[in-house]
Amino acid sequence: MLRSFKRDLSSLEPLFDFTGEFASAERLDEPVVFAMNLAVEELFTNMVKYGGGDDAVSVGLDVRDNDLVIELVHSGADEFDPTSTVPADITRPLEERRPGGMGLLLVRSMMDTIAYEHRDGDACVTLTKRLGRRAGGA
Amino acid sequence: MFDINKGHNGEILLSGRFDATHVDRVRAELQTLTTSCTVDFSNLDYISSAGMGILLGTQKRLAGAGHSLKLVNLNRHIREIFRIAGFDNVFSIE
Repeated sequence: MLRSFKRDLSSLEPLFDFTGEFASAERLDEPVVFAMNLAVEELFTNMVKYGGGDDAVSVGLDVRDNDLVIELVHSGADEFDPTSTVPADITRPLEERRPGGMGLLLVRSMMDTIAYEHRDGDACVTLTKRLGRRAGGA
Repeated sequence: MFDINKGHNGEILLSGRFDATHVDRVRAELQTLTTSCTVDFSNLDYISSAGMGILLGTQKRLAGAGHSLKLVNLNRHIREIFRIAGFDNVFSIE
């Protein structure tokens, strides 16, 4: 499933409707749905905050070879690689903790792979998560 | 659908999906806290790093005055991401 969303936080509601439709169609398990929603929100809000470019982000959701595949493409965006940012240091004491980097830390923990590519002027982030289904099973 | 309310014992009740669009509302509510408080997650289905950042900021502010937030009744998904983020070291979680 592929859909385009206005690059604005007001798109989160329709974005969650979209992931919900996909989750129902693919009968995804609850932990996978939670991880998918979190990853999509964290990367989409990153694209809202940074990157310039067009006012739309396309979001693709698919299941390929027992992997959930999520792809976000921001056309005309500046080069901004979320995979190269420093994740939050959770070993710091409370007074030294900063919220920055927490989203990416969560995405890296919840997903199996995360890849960034700046392709023909577009910023593309692809995530995969292995599904716990048996091959050919329901 | 997201909501934030005060319970009968002064606790903060969160419900629904706490995504980045609700940050300002929750920040405004938590900024009124001047003493220790319980945040009840019983009816909260989802939270992202945006909401977690607000909780962290509130905990830091309260800790400076010797107070803290206590987080209770988290579902297993939220409990897991709080563990990943190291929140179990900076919050009392029950």
